[in-house]
Parts: sequence; C-alpha cells; structure tokens
Amino acid sequence: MLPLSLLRTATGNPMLVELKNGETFNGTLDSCDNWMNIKLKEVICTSRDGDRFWRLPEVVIRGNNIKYLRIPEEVIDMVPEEDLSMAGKGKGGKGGKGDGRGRGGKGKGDGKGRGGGGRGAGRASG
Amino acid sequence: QKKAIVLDMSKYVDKSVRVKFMGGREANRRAVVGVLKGYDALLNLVLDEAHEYLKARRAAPRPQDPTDAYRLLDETRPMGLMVCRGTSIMLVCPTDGLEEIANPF
Repeated sequence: MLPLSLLRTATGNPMLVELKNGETFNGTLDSCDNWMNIKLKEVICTSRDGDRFWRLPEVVIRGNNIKYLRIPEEVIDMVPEEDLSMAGKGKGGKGGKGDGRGRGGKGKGDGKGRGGGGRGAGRASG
Repeated sequence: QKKAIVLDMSKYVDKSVRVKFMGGREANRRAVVGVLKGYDALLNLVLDEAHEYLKARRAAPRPQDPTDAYRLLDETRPMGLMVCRGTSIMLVCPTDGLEEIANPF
C-alpha cells in the first residue's frame, strides 16, 4: 500500500488536507501527481485557528506543504492489486534509487551470510 | 531537477489567481493576487497587475454583514509584474468564486 497509489485511488473522493501551516482544506480530490501536488474541487478552507472559513471552487496545493491527508476508509479497498506491482515496475527508472537501495541491502545480507558459511567451511577443512 | 507538474495551470492563464507563499515576514501568511501570464514546469508563475496582501485581517468575521465577505484581507500594495518562485509557492487558486463563509461544520 503505497501512499501515492492510495492517493491516486482516492481521486474523486472527499478528503481533508492539512498543510504545514495548520490550514485545512476540505474538498474533492481532482488530481494529484508524483510530488503529491494536488488539486481539490469544491473546497472549504479553514484557517489555522479554526474560526474563519472560505469557500473556493478549486485549489492547487503544492505537495511539499502537506502535513497529512485524511481519506475515506472505503478507499483502501479500492486500491487495485496490480497497482502495487505496477508502481514498483513503473518507477523502475525513477524509483531506481529506492529499488537500488533495497536490493543493495538484501545483497549485503546474503553476502555476509555466505561469507560466514565460507569461513566456517574453510576452518572446518583447515 | 526534473519536475513535471501534472496539474495544468493552462486553465488559469489570463485569469486572476491568488497565490499563497510559504513563510513571509512576521510569520504572517502572505498572499498575492494577480493575473496569471505564464508558468513553467517548476510552478514558477508570471503574474501581472499583482497586489500583495500583507496581513490577514484581525477583526472577527461578521457573516451577517454581506459586504464583509469581500474584505478578506487588508493592507494591499501593488506589485505590478512579478515572477513567483515555484519552490516558495504553497497554494494557487482562482480568485473567481473565492468567498469567506460562516462556519459550515
């Protein structure tokens, strides 16, 4: 369950977005991208102290300002299964960093294990 | 830095938009309203006839006063033509349809 696949799945659903500055936006998710930049429609903006409200037809929020998003529970059941594998494959080039690290970690682990075995065998024979 | 903003700004071109920035002096949230003349993939924006809204109005909202909704903020100053740096932009929304409302919750 990747955060961005969940978010993509939540497109068209109502959600609450809180920004780092404390403002919250209640609206319907129109679109989002890989940086979590999002566009909401039919938005109600609440000030940081929660005593002022604005209605906005739509708003584009930069992903780096998001503290969190609250998404309807049912969305989690709608995340397509293949989306996870697709996300991994699709990112191949881009998520290369992440994948590389993952594989590197495993590789090291295996290497050590085998190395130990090798040494053990060596001692036994020697 | 490769950054392709999927969200298209094209529909806002030549429209009046409100742009909120991160930070700002005195920890006041700073906003600019202007006509969007251009943009790029990094979300840098070109605004014309821009006005800066320096400080949020402190007085409590009075929903019973119909004109009150349009006085969202005070202390504006004209900025003319400006380029907004994408990395410090927090939020973009069209000014058309923006209104302050009473507590809907």
